[in-house]
Amino acid sequence: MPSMTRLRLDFRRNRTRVLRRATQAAFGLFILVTSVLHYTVTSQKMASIDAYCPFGGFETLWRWASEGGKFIQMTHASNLVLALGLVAGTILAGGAFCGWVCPFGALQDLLGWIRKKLHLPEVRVPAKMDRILTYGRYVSLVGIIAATIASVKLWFAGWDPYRTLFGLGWIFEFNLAENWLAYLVALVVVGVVLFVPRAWCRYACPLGGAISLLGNLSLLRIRRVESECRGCAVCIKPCPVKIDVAHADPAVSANCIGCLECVDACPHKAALGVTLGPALPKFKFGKKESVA
Amino acid sequence: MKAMRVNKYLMPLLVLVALLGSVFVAKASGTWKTSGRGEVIVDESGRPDPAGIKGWMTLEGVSETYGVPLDALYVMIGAAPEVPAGTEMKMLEGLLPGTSVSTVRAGVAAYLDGSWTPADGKYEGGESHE
Repeated sequence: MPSMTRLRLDFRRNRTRVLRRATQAAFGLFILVTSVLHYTVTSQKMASIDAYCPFGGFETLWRWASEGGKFIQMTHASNLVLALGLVAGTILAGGAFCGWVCPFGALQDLLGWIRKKLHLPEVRVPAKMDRILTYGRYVSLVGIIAATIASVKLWFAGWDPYRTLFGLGWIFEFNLAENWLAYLVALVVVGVVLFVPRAWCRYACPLGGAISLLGNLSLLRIRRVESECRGCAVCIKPCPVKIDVAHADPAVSANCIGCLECVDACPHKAALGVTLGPALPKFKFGKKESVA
Repeated sequence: MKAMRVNKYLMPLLVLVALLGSVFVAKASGTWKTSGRGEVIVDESGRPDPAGIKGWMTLEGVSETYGVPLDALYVMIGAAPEVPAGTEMKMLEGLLPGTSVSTVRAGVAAYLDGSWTPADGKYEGGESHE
């Protein structure tokens, strides 16, 4: 059994990771407990996880604004409130929601951990393909919002892998005939993420697309100080979303999920850190940002 | 303007404060709502939309909201008369294998558009109108 001193040392060394895992676990647990209660408690008002998704706020915003406060089915005021909080948080401090809060991000981190424990190979997406695939998030964002506005229902909900997995319908209301597409999409996503770290976040997440766009405006960014950087590139390896931190110019990509792994990994602390800087949009479409 | 180095934990902290702060303010102002319980979803023509049938709705509630007589609803799902009218939709699957909220949604939609009547016996269509 490790001694208390050893545990304290480990915590100090991995403080950021421990804090992040604890935060992710807390939010993940909250969503899972919400799902279980939604299916099992009949006498009280138990919300479904749909009510706690900020993306639902983006989806229902058009109807809410254009039809005098009406919501798309399965969305509520809570979705709008969370979307507003997320927009404010992202403009203030970037995409830390993805790295610290999102349960689906946590699940992807867990799958990455499982991959390492099972000694499975990590599939590295070639940089050029990675750059192209990254646009998938914006396509997904625009497509889902447009389809939701046109159909006046949560068009994506039927096969959203986050909803399928965390909604726990596959346990409490398993119905292959009706939900086969949702199960298939979730299985494919889990399978891909097992080999390609955070693949859903990097290539398909519509909320990630919105956060990435807003992240270009964020006041807090991780920035590299070129004059201090020794070019060791140690910061690149731990990045879960494979950002080329070593060549950040000076702010790292808005695709950053704020996990702070790169900052902790940097052996020369003056070279990389979180900074408060001007919120100048610096969109880098087409420019190499990833080392995948 | 030169960027100023700050504590790295400010990054997640601000996001958490913004997120949880918005929830706190919404709760304090009474705008926080996570359920549509009690609300009836209507379609473009203003009629209650069967797609709005929820797991928390009771047989009696569905009957009243959608104008399907309770007897017809029992025939639709193949329920024995002993099944209480206060049974919630999400309990149906446990009581009546093969019947779920989706079955009721589809059945009620079929009743409303006239493609199913109690004389047809238990509703066997599986198409969801969601």
